[in-house]
Amino acid sequence: MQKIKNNGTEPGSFRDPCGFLFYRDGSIHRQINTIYKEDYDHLINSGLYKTLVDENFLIPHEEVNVSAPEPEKAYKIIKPEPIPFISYPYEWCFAQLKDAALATFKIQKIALDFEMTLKDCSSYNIQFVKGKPVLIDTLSFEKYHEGRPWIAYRQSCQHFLAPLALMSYKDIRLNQLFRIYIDGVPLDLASSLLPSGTNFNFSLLSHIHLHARSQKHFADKQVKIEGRKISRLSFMGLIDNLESAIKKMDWKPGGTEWADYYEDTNYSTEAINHKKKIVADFLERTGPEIVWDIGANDGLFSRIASDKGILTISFDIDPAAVQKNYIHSVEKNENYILPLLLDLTNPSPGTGWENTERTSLIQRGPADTAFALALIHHLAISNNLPFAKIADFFSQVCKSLIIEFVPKDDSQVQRLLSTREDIFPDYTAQNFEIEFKKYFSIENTVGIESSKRIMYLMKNKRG
Amino acid sequence: MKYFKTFLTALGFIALFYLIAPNRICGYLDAGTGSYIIQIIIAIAIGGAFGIKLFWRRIYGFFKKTPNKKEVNAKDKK
Repeated sequence: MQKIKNNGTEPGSFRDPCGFLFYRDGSIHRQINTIYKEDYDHLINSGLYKTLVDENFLIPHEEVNVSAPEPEKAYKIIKPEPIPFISYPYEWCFAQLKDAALATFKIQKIALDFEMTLKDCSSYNIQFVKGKPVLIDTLSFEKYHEGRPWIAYRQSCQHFLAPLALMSYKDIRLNQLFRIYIDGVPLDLASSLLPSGTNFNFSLLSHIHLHARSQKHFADKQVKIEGRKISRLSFMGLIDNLESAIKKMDWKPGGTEWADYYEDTNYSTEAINHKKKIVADFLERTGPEIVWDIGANDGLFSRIASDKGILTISFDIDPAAVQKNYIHSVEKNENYILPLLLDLTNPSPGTGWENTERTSLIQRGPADTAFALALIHHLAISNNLPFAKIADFFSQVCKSLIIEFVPKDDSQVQRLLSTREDIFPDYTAQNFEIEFKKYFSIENTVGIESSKRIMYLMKNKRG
Repeated sequence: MKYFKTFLTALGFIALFYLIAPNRICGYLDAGTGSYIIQIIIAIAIGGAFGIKLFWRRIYGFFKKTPNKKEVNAKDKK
């Protein structure tokens, strides 16, 4: 992966004949092929590019004079603004996918004002940059030809409408279907999973249920499609209807109020304030540019880093916590925190062609600093992970580590042990240190006041 | 009543689907054909309603933007 990032082609960029991404001296570049010349020139000259960039809907780029990897096809080379952390739809909460969808439809609407349209509608083309959903594929636009149906219609349903409907009407965990289906949720699957009541929702009936039936009906038929046109008004109506359907969707975790959702801790105010101070002090010592807070809950400790202008990826396994974290970040207009969904016991793998189109979590690291606060007991006791394996994992994802050891007599650990046999005689601070010292040097340890928990600052021996 | 209206819309829509959907075989086969056909049907079905929506939005926008006399006078005095 490191070789690719120095001088190679981005493995996930091969489907579009209009161009591709490549790395040159560690920086991402995009070759634009001559077949895209007319569309690219229109994007720039019509003012659409400037409008979208000014409104933070499209990643800015500069045209550069760099030798093309495939010069016989090349029209131009552009250097897009780098994105510090790539995330994927299966790592987003409901509100993030919804915001990504609405941004896409807004871009489509603006594009039409400039006589252009989106030729693909992949959720992977959206990334969260400074807290906002931004289109990163500059080659997604083509000139609009009145009468032609929207080529990205199917993709818009598979990548946005269907997964959001499943998350909203069926089960929030169904966004994990993105992990299996690289081009969005198949509509026949979405149709079969959605409650029958969704047949009475015009948008879901038409764009998912009837759409799925239509796909099945015409799958083995050859159909003359030339001459079948839709007017500009109908085209706009289609986009507007998809956008309205998504705007109406919502998800709240089990009907509970956010404020009551994460009150279940055993910290005193004194302990939590002391823990915050320790994290801030340790952070001052490590001086990271990027932090991964693993097991971040609703981002309380992530914000110690992000409030200092450090990009902080705030991971949690609970969709409710991630949603709460994200909504908070949007309401406060926070630029340096990115809440993401992650099951650390089964982190995002490399997927797609050759397992390289979408990179694994580990490949997207290492972070300068990782937080593992109130996490170790969940990994070691709830998931039977030996300290050796936990230490090995963290040594792969961070250069320095701020980790909290929660002793066995802590009430939270006792709670985990209350319903199972204690088969963890090795779960001691001493063994924890022995295993972590194989990969890290322990720089500092501080006991949290009014608690038996210990905070460690560790430095990765690999550097 | 709301559900009944939706049900009627759905019935009309399904009828339209089977009315417009072509049966003739004379072209290129691909997985997107079904999406293409249904898109045309939905777009036709929605187009008229969207036109009315746009019309009312413009009417609403016209009256909303029209400044009242007090605002005009206040501006003039400045």
